[in-house]
Amino acid sequence: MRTCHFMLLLSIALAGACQEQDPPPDSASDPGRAEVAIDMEVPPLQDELATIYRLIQQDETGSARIRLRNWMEANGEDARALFLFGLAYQREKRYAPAADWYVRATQAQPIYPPTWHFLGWSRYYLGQPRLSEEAFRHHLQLTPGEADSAYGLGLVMLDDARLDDAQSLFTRSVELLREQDGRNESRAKALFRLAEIQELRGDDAQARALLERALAASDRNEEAWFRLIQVCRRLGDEPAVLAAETRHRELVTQSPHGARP
Amino acid sequence: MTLHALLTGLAITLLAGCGKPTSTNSIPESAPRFTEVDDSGIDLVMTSGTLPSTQIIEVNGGGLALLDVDSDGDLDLFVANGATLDAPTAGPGCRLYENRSHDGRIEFHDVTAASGIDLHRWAMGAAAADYDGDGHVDLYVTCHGPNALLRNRGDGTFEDVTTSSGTGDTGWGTSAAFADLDGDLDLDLLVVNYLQFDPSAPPPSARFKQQNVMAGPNGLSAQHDVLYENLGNGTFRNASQGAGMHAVDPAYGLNLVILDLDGDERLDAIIGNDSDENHLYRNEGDGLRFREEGGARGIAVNRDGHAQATMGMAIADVDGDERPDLFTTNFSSDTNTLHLGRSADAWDDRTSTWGLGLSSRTMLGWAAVFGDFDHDGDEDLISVNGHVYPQASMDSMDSEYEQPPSVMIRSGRRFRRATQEETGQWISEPRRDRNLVRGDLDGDGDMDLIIGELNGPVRVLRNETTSNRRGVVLSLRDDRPISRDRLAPGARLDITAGDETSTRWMPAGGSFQSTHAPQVHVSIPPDQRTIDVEVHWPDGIREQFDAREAATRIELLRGTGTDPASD
Repeated sequence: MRTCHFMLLLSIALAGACQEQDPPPDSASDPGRAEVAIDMEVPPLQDELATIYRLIQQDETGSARIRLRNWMEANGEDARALFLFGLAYQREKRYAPAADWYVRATQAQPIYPPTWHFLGWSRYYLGQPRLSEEAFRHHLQLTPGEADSAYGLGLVMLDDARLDDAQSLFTRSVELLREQDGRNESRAKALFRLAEIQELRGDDAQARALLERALAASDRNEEAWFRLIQVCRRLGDEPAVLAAETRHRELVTQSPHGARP
Repeated sequence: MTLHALLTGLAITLLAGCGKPTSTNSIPESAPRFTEVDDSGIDLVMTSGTLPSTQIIEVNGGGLALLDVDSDGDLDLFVANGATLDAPTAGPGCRLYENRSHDGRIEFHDVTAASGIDLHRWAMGAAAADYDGDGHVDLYVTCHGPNALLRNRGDGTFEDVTTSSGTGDTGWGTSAAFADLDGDLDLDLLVVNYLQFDPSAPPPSARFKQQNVMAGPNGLSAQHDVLYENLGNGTFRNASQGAGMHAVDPAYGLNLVILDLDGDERLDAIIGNDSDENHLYRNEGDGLRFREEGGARGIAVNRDGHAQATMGMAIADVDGDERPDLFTTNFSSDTNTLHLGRSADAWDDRTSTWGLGLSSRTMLGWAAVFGDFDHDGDEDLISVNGHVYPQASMDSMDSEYEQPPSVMIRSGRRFRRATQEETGQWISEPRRDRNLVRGDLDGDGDMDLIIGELNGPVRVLRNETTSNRRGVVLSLRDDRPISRDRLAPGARLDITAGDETSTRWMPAGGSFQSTHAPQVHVSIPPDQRTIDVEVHWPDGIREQFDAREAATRIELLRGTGTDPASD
């Protein structure tokens, strides 16, 4: 019974982790941009933790931390609460403290697999590719079906110039997402990165085809429109360049971003 | 703990071990090694407001310039020094240091008072060049407030000719560079401006990563850059409007490089902008006429189309295709960026695959420079770092306020971060560094460094790399009566030593608010006795200098080579 309950919790948590929702409101200010969707469904744990999770979603991160401390004083150190501590910092794009809490969560009980996924992203944004890789691989060992960990690991491989490895990971991400409704943005992201690999290999025709697939999945992928401009320019297709520039400009105007205040 | 949890935890631990990190980096054979010179004679503590910084004007720090003030063949140092918010026009003053190195010992002496340089406003940047072609290198100092042109009289003293020359732009000047942009054999002047800022009425604070921080640049008014045409009679004309500098909206300019980017034998300019797209002013010839093409050429933004906060800029032919590649430093939680030239007129961001991406995310980078510092034949990359916000820490902003320099070692088609063991103690010291210039300070054929720290010391770093290859320092000179462009900033040199070839550019801009020594440096195999150099002079003329004795220093005098087309 206990095992069944654990597996149920795990399944629900992982299913929740796969849900894609809107990115945090200030994600546009993060130049890394490969922003993980942190608004996964609340794992059906204790009521107070669910409430705290909702506070984090609402950017009430300070209040969330106070309530988490209170909760842990009453209940002891718990991987899920520690994870939420990390998530509160990640919501603020403060990846160093987030990673510290995630590490504590990985060392506590009960086992809470999404922690490794978010730890992977925190390490990535902190410029720690080896630690990011380790966390993503750990998560994929636990949950081979998690497309976003495959995607994150692919980015690490891309930064290592391991194009073949990156390609297989992005391809895996696309394939996993094919079976999941409502994750078009994530599919577009992965296709966009596959296009980047083709660009790096000098195959602009193939890159263009992949970018067009990405934009068919989500025409709000600003980065894909930008790359399409570059690729089409190199291919000499000026009408396509103009069309992509128009759409890209619209998206940038709607969501300007910069590296600093 | 239940048995199930214990077993699950064990399984997870074992599974985690399956994901061992891997690396494709190979270890290079060499790395540059520098040692700080404790008794360099530069005792200045630079001023840029006070610590902790509270306003944007306080965070850039002052620039450095390496120039041969007294024409004695070595490199002297000018320091653009700032002021404070309570006395923004009455700072401690800029400084000039004479190089008196001898017997392998690097030594400078403060000659400011004797030089007549009496500049106490909030100085930002320093450009050095012989604008009037009299054989003596002059100084242009950008400031918050009127800039200053200081003419070198040739007797160890300078006179302020700002007013008579017409170069006293009143914007917030950051970087500037001289170069012959119209091909008429004298040096024009391009001044990069930042934004409008009144120290007595600073804007309210902004938010960054949940912290209240000093405001700017966003929300403040950007200023146009200024292009001055050298009229050849000691005066300049503001040619910005007609030259196309106002055809685009003003941006928060911080830096520039000038060189022939597209191989059309005319000098172009890239302006590095803060929180905005970088500008590429492509030279259209016919006098001073430029068209902004940064976006069309792929150099305005990073790979994903995002504008960055460009501070430092450095040029090199990283991939050996004889095209200029551009490296820029940027804000924290972003990456530095490497744009590779893919064709004569297109660049593409290849930061990640060259190993320069994730490694820079926690850094806020400033001045940067490429160089074959370790004499292994390829160019490594050095940049200095430090956050603008005193509140910065890993806990608050994923980035420390004081940060160590970055030394990125070339290893094939990748860079990797050097270690303290390889390069010396200096690389591990967190600082508030802002500026960096390189030049051969002691005449031993390798590139030394001078680093300026925000409200901190100016440090001299001697290159103590050991290598069996030899360093050669090249300089250019044009003494023809028809020319006033004596040192040819922006020129390109194609250098052949045996079966090794390399392409270098004579600095015009780059680093950050600073001027590198007017030198091009290469290392050559130990048994190589001669080198061949093809110079692409800034006016488009090429000249071949064959089989020059590979001495430690070589000066290539225009008119003494041959026409490459005649070969």
